[in-house]
Amino acid sequence: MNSLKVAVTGIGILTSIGHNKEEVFQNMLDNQTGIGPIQSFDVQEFISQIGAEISSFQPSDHFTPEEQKGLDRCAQYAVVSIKEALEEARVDQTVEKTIGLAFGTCNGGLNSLEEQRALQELDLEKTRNYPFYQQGDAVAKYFGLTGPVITLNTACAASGNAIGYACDMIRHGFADVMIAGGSDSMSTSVYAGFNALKALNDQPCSPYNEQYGLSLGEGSAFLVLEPLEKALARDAKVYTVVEGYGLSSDAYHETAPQPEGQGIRKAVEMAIEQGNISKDEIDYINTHGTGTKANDPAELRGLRAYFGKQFDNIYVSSSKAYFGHNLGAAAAIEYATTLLALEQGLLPATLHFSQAREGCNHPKLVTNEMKSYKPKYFLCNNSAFGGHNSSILSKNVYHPAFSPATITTSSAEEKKRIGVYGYGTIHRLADHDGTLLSNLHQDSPTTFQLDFSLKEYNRSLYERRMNPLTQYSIAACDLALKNTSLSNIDNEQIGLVYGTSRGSLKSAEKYLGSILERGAGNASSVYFPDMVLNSTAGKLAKKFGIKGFSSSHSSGGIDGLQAILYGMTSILDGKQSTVLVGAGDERSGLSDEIDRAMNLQNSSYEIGEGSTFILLADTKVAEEKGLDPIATIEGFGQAFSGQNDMDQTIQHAVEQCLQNANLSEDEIDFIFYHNNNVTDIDAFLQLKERLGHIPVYTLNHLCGYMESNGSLFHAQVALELLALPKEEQQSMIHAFGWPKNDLRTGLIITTSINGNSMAMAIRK
Amino acid sequence: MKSISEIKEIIKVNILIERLELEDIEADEIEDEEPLFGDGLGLDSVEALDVVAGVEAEFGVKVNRFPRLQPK
Repeated sequence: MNSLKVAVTGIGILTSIGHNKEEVFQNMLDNQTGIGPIQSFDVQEFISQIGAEISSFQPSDHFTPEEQKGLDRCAQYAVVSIKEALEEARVDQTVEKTIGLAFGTCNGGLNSLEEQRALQELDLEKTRNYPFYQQGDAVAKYFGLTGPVITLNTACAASGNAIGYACDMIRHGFADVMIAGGSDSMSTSVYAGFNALKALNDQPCSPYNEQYGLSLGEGSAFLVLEPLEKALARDAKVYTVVEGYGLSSDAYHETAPQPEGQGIRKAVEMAIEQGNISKDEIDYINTHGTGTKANDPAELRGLRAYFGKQFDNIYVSSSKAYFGHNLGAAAAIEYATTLLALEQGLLPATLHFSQAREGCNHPKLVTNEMKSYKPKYFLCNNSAFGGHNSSILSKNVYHPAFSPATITTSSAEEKKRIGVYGYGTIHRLADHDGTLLSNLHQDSPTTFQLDFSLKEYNRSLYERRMNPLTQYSIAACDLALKNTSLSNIDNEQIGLVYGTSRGSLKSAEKYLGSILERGAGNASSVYFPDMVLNSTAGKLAKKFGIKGFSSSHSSGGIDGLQAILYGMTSILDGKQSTVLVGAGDERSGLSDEIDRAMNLQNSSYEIGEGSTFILLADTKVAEEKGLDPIATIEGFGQAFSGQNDMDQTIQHAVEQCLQNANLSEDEIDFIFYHNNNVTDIDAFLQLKERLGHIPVYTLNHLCGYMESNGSLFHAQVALELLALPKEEQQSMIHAFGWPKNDLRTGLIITTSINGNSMAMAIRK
Repeated sequence: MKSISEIKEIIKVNILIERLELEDIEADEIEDEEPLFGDGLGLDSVEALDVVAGVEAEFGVKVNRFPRLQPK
C-alpha cells in the first residue's frame, strides 16, 4: 500500500490560550493554561466552575452584522482560524480549482438553538444556523468553495476524522486542496451534560495525574492540506507529511472506552499500516488523554498492548491541560499545536502534573514543560462518545533524517474494484425483506410517517429509550447483512460509514427538554450521550460488533452517497475489504421546526423517514468466494456551489463523476435524482434538458423527501432494477416509460438544500 | 415526612419507571432488594447517575462524594 503523502501547508488556530498560532505557541512555551473560571454562563449549580473559554472574542471584529447572523459561534471560530491557515498557505483560489472543506464538530450549532430556551415556535433565522451540516456549509459558502464539503460528527474524534477524510479526497483526486479541522464553542447544555455524567474536574485538568476529571474548552483549528509533491513544487512551507490515518469503533459503550483500549489500538494499527512504516519508528504520541478516570488508563493499556516493550521508549503527552477538552476541535487543535511545537524542536507537555495515578504510569510522560526532542514519526490520537477513535500518523519534517529528496513517488498500485453485495431499507414502501422495487408502482402512501418497532422486529437488537432513528438504522443494517450473498463476514473486521444530517432530534428534545424543565444542574445523563450525532453509528457498531474503519457525517442532502464514497476509499486504501454504509432520517416536532427554518416546507414533497444500508466489498475478495456483485461502484463526483449556481454545480459533479468512472455520457442508461425541489427546481429542469436522451427520474414524490437517506434510497432502487431478470426489467422500464431496452449503467445524483451536490456511477 | 413505603413508591415509579423509562416492568414487580445492575434491573453506569440525580431532585437531598466517572 502507498502511504498518503499529504502535506500540511497552513495552520490556523483559535483557543483559550491565543487567537493565533504565535500567541498559542508562546503560551504553551510559558506553561500557561487557558482553564479558568467560566464567564459566559452561570455555573453555580455544577460540580465544577471552570473551563477553557476564549476571552475577548468580539464577532464584530471579524464579521459584518449580516455575516454574523448567518454563522453560529462555532462557524465564526472556524472562519477566523481558516483565514489564518489560508493566508499562511498562500492558496490562490483562482489557480486551485477544487478546494474543499472537511469540518469536524461535536456540538456545532447548538448555541443557536439553546439560546432560544425553547423547542417550539423557534426563531427561523437563528434556527437556520443550528443544523450540524450548517457549520461546514456556511463556512464553505463564506470562502466560496467548490470542492467536496462535509461536516464530520464523530464527537471528540471529529476533527481527526475530518483530516483523514480530507486526505482521502486529495489522494483520490476529488480535490486539489482541502481545508480540514474542527470547531466547537462553549455550550451551557454540553457543560450541563458533562456535569450530569460527573466527568468534570473542579481543578484544571491534568491527564494521568492523581486528581482525575476533565476541563471543557472551546476553540477551532484548521489545516490546509495538499499533495506533498505539489507543495514542494510550489515551494510552500511544509509543516509535516500525513502518511496514514486510522478510524475504528470500540463497539462497547456510549460514553466509556473499552477498558483495554482495543479501539484506539486498532486505529493506531490502521494508521501505521497505511503509512507503511515500522512501529519502531514512532517516537512520540499525542494522546487523547482527557483526564477522566476511565479514559487515561484504557488508552495507555491499548497502546502498550500494541507497541509492546517498545512503548516505554515512546514519549507521550496529552495537551488538554493547556486548553481543555475542545471536543470536536480537540484532534485538530492538538495536532496543530503539536506541529507548532515540533517546528521548534519541542514536544507538548501535560501541565499541572504531580504524580501519575494508578494505571497511568509511563516512563516517558512529558510533564509540566515542553521537552526538546525530534521524533521521526508521531501519532495524534483521539477517542469519542459513541466509541469512535482516530489516529493520524505523520512524518516530522524537522527530524535530522528528513529531506524532501528522500520522498519517493508513489508506485503503481493494483486498481481495486468495489462491488455491492447486499442492501436493505426500512421505509413505508419497503417490504419485510427490505426491498423496495415491487412497491414503487403502487399509489404513493398518504403518509410517510413510519410505524416501526425494533422491539417487534427483533427484541435482542432493541434497548430501552432507543430513538426511532437508531431503531430504523439497526433494522436496515440487519436486513443488508441478512440479504447479502457474502458469507462468513467477520463483523470485527468490517467498516461502518453512516450519514445523518440531524441525528435523533427526539433524543435531543428529551435532553434539552430536561434542562428547560429541571434546570441545567439537573440535566438528563441518560439522554446526553445521544446529543452527539455519532450516537446512532456507535449503537450500530455495538449491536453488530463492528470494529473496523468507522465514521459518521452530516451534509444536509448528500449523506447517503457520501457514505458510499467514504466506504469506497477505505476499501481502495486497504483499510478493510468489506464495509457497511448507511444513512437515516427521523421525523419529530423539532425536525419540523428545522424544516421550516431550512425552507424545506416549501418543497412539493412530503417529509419522509427511514434508513437504508448497503454492503460494499472488494470484488476480488468476493470472487475468491465465487460471488459476483449485484453491481459495481464505478466512480464519483462532487461539488459545492460556493461560487456557482445549482445547475453549474450539478454539472461539475456529473463531469467529475464520468471522468472518475471513465465513462462517457452515452454509456449512461438512466439517472435517478434525489432532489429537494426547493433550491434545485431549475437545475433539475436544465439537467433533463441537457441530457434529453437519458431518462432522469426522481422517486421523491413516491417516498417523501429524506434529507440523509434519499440518495441511498434511490441507489437501492437502481440496484434492484439492475439486478432484475431481463424480462422483468423490461416491464419495469416500460412502466417508467423509458426509451431503453436494457439497463447496464446508471447515475445517482443528489443535492442538498445548501447547494452541495454529488453523482455516483454504478454498473451491472 | 414521607413514610418508607411512600419513599419506595417514589423511587420505583417516579425514578425507575418514569425517569429511566424502564420498559416491560411495573413498579410492583420491582423487589425492594432488587439489584440495580446485572441480573437485577440491568442498569448501566450512566443510568445509575440518573438514579442519583432523581433521588436528589425528588427528595431535596445531596448525594456527596459520588465518584467522578468515566467518559472519554
